[in-house]
Amino acid sequence: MGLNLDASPEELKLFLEEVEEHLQVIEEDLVRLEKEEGTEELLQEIFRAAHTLKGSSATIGHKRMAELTHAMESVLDKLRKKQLSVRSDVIDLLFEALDNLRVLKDEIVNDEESDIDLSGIVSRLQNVREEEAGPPGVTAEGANSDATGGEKWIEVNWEEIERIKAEEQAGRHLLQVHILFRPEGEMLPVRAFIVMMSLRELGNVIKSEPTEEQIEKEEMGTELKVLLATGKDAAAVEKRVKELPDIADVKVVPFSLQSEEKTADKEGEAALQPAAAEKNEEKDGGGSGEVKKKGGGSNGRIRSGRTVRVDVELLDDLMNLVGELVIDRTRLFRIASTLEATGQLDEVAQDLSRTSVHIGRVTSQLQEQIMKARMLPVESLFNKFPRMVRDLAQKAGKEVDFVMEGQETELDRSIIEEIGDPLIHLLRNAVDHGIETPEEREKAGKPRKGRVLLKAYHEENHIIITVSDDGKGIDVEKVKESAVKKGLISPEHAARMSEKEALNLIFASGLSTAQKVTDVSGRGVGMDVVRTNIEKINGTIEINTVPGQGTEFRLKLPLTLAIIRALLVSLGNNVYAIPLSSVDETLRLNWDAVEKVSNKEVIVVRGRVLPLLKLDEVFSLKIGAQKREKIFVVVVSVGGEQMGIVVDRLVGEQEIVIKSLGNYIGDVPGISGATILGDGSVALILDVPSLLKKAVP
Amino acid sequence: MPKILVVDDAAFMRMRLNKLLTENGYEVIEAENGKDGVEKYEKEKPDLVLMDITMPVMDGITAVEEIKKRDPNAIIVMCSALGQQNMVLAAVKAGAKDFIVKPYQPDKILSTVKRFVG
Repeated sequence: MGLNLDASPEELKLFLEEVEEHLQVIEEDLVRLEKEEGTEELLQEIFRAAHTLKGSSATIGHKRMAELTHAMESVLDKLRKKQLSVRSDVIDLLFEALDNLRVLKDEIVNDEESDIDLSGIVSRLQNVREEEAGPPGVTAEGANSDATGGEKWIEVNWEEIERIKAEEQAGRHLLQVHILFRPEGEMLPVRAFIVMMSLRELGNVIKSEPTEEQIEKEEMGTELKVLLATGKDAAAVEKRVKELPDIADVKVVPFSLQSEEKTADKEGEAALQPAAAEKNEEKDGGGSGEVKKKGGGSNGRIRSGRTVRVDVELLDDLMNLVGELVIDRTRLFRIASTLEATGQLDEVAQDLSRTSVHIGRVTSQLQEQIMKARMLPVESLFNKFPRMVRDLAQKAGKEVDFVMEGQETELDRSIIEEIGDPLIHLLRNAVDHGIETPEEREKAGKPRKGRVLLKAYHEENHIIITVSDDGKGIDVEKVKESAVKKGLISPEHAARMSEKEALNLIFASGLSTAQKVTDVSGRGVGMDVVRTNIEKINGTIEINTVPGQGTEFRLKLPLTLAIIRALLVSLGNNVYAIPLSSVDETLRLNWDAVEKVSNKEVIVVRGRVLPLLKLDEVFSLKIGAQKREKIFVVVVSVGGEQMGIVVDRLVGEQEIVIKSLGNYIGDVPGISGATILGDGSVALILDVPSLLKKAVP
Repeated sequence: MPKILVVDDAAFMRMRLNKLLTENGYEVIEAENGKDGVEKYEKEKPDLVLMDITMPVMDGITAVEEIKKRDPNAIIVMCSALGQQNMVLAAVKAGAKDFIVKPYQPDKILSTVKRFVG
């Protein structure tokens, strides 16, 4: 049954985008509200999001969404007006409402009414009352502290310092004007603009936060700070601003350069920090499980710079085209070097050579820029985790301090899509299996509250994401025991295993060391999927664990999926590409170094026995068995498992553009794709993880 | 008696504003589009203009620009519907002093008018 909404498809699309944005804001802010001290600003933001949702859903005629957001809004309004304190049951209720909102949103996506019943949640929202003699509201503070907190609200850079000095010489003094608008006021950006104009009539505006450009782009909240050079006194300025409508509060305080110069020199960068935001950020360790964020109190919403929205497909196409260019670049290089090799060093050849070098440079830059355009901060992915961890911890009866770092780290968006599920799994595991219950932790002499850290950062040409906890660590013996019990390995095998090998068992499917299965983890599926997913995108995963101290999972991810560095090898007339991320080393051996163990060919490298894989056998190639005395072996590894691939010749190392084999050919076991080489021939890209499974069953 | 020019293409809106302002002691002149508004402004020299944005012949923003060209000190207050934020901003940049959002609340209109012309 359709919903019969009053909106065109385009409007709906925009509406849904906005709904998602607002839901995200509400979710993040609720988590922050619960964990940190609820500032006025935060409550205002949630209120605004709910309010906007109400307005737009009513406009398109989605009655149920309007009804629910209206009920939420009234609770938020009470919180905002401090008629209600921020209690955990209220937060839970709001979270529940939020989940219902998501269901309603899906209704629109599917154009089908769901059967959820909202009457319960709506009436509970309506009936939220302040308990008698309830705890003093968390919101009781913060209301005025941002305006009265300090005398220094505005930081300036050296350029502005010069301007300030000039203004002072001209006989004007400096005032900091801090304006709070009424959140219910209409068209606040225009209002802010008018305020700026009025202030200009009184003097010169040195700087403002938000800037005029930001105001025009509507990137502002309910706050405006202006550094004004004027001949008027503070009272006159205050009076002038107060006359304007929709002004909730105005504070005017003199500004002195002395205290500023030092900080400005140190920072070297213009930074205007609302006192309230500062308070949020600097507070450390106090609140339970706060989420540290860059970007400050307004949730990083104030973005600068000029941007356009581009369809992802367009970027994919561009990347593909650049891929073709990269191939042609390689061909051009070849032609040029062939010409040079034939000794025809006439001017045309030299010209070609120079041009191809230039094209090469431009192509590299183009490739780099487009790759950058496809990058997104991992923040978009990380944002949903605080709520998830909170819910998990609550369900499991654990106390968890969840910290995220490096949200600004950028990754190719296709990779971000791929790592979502693995990260969810790892975080679940950390909360469920890693962190102990508060009682256990106390007994072990640790703080009651466990810590889960999610961190992203750059390392050379990779992005590293770690999920670590300070929980009980992984008991290697237990892993072995469990694997033996489930028949994954023999007891003898288990006894011979190194610690690292044993740890890697947790990636085997069908293994779980959790004492009991919960509805979130411990069902023995998961970790194998995690590894498969990560390896699918040419990433690797490593575990470090210290019993009693915690566990760290380390994901090493490529920056992009489209272009990789590969080792080219040949076998018969065919050229294959092996992703360099899985190549450990290459060896040149005599045939007699190959030994047979239980009818399988192996080689021994520095005391380690490696199974050998012959591609001609795997791919059923008929290659004239020209047995040479010496063979080349490429040692590859995935997740700690190693094997050797026998090849005829090593061709070289090169950047290759991955192309899929297309629907017609489909999935070929052992092959992950193809690439076009400089001479126009096609090389198949080996799928090392699946080949390894074949060799090391 | 301060003179106010009401520029709006909807006769109904003009009538409402006229009634409200007259009752509160203002003299009211009406114009039905931007072009008409600019002409009436030159002729009557009102103390304040209430200017609608979306109008035929000449829109409110252009009318603000035109009036400002003729009289840089003109006081113009924009009358806008919800969702016309960008246009209001454009009008403010063109020199409008303030804005009122529809649906009009009588006290808001009066307080705004009073702020500029007493």
